[in-house]
Amino acid sequence: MLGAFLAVAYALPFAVGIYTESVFFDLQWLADFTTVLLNGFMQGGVYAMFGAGLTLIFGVMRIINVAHGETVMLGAYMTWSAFFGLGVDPLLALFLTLPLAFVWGWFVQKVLLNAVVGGPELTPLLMTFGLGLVMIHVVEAIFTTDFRTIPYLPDALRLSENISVGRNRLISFVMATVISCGVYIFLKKHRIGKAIRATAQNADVAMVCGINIFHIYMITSGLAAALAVAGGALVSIQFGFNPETGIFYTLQAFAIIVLGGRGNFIGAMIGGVMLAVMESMISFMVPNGTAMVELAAYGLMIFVLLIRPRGLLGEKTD
Amino acid sequence: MAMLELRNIDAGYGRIQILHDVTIDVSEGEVVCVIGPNGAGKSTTFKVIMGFINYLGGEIRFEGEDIVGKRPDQILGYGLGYVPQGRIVFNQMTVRENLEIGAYIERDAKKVKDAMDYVFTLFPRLEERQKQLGGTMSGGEQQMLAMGRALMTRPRMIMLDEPSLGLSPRFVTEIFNKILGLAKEGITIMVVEQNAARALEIADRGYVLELGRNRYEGTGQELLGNPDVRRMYLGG
Repeated sequence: MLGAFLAVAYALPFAVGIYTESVFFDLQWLADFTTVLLNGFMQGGVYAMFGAGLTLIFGVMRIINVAHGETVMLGAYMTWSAFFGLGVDPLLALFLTLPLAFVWGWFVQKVLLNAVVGGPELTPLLMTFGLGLVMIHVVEAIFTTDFRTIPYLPDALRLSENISVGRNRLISFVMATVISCGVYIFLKKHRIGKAIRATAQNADVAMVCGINIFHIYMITSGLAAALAVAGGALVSIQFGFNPETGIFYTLQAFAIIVLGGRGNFIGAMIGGVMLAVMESMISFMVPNGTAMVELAAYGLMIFVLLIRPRGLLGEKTD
Repeated sequence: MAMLELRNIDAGYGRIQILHDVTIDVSEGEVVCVIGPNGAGKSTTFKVIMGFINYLGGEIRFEGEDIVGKRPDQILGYGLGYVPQGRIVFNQMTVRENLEIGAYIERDAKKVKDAMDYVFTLFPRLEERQKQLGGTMSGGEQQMLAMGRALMTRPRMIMLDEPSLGLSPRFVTEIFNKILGLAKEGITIMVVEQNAARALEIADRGYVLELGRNRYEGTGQELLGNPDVRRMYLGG
């Protein structure tokens, strides 16, 4: 059922493209299409990374963190400040911003969210909603609502005569993949990572095994914030941003984890790539497509929830 | 001196009191079983020791130390392991990972390895299945895994909540034999059971709880021979 829906969803941009005569299937078009798919796929690596942060929070604490996109936005501003304020290369700045992000996530968990985990689901939802608004307004007060950009390796890397990828996009993809794999290996192999997975599966039994779950919650939130801030750094070198950009990333992150299966790390990886490819196809083939891109996230999320709420890899218990 | 002492425990969920003035002693090396009908407060007794539920009054001491108000994750550190009801294992983790989680508080890799070997000697089936996901094992195997996990820090005492619940008769016998084996090694055991007759057979002493209060206590044989206990809890 979900497969059929996705097939239709991915065929739809083609149909619209053919109908509006913007799809040609000649050599030049195919090369452009390949370029678009490649760029979408690489963008997907970055989506996957911050999507994984959201899925981690949900999986471990069953909390819906709607301030996740604002943390992405915060990451973009942190990178911007490091670049223009301190003259630090945006990628080197990760060594500074990621530890800060971890501390931020840890702190938010300790002060706000630990008090409401396990209670009614609405409380953390509203709490993070409020937190997101506060973050927007604070950033706005400091940086104004102007759009910012970071000029970083904007030239394209030619793979063949007609196919090219942005150098900044390629680097973002590589960084995102390295970071995502790092977190995955940490969860799989490290003692704390195993404790995080155990807590996600059954918090009561994790406690019986001597795991301080509130400590695990703080580490999880720290990791999720670091993934979001890394995402912010990597989008900031490709796209303009302002304090309200975060809302868009929150939405994307939700679409990603719903598609992949809430709480499933690999699912978030797949969901991230699938969403980004879909977005790139829409913006390429549908007239006025860049304005329609947000439809991909909304549409996918709504229909997946309707057809198969647990997503591609999620557990049935939802 | 009693290893675990519960003195006049009152406890409950929220404002609903379940345990009233419950007193239980477990001496070092003993197998003590707690039986009683549904709703007698058997599992609740474990939950209050572990710090999972609201404690209202009374004393809880383990090896002389007051453990009232400790968080559930702190209890294991005292040398008191707990196997919750329903053979709960981490379904999406392998047998080996489940055991590693059991040893979470042990930072010495050598000790973890020794404990793993010890558990594999006790439950050879776990060694054969160490790469299998916990959730794909049979009920009896999961119960063994849950017990093995609780033994990974080599606790001096373990508490087992309904270890035979929902198991096939063959596994029930096997599980009770394993419990006896642990007792022979000097591990103090407190077990809550629906299967009262089987539990009393292996127990040194037993307590009967009813509606959250102490009703009878005595050696396993005394309780098995007590006509009231036989009539009410042993079905004849």
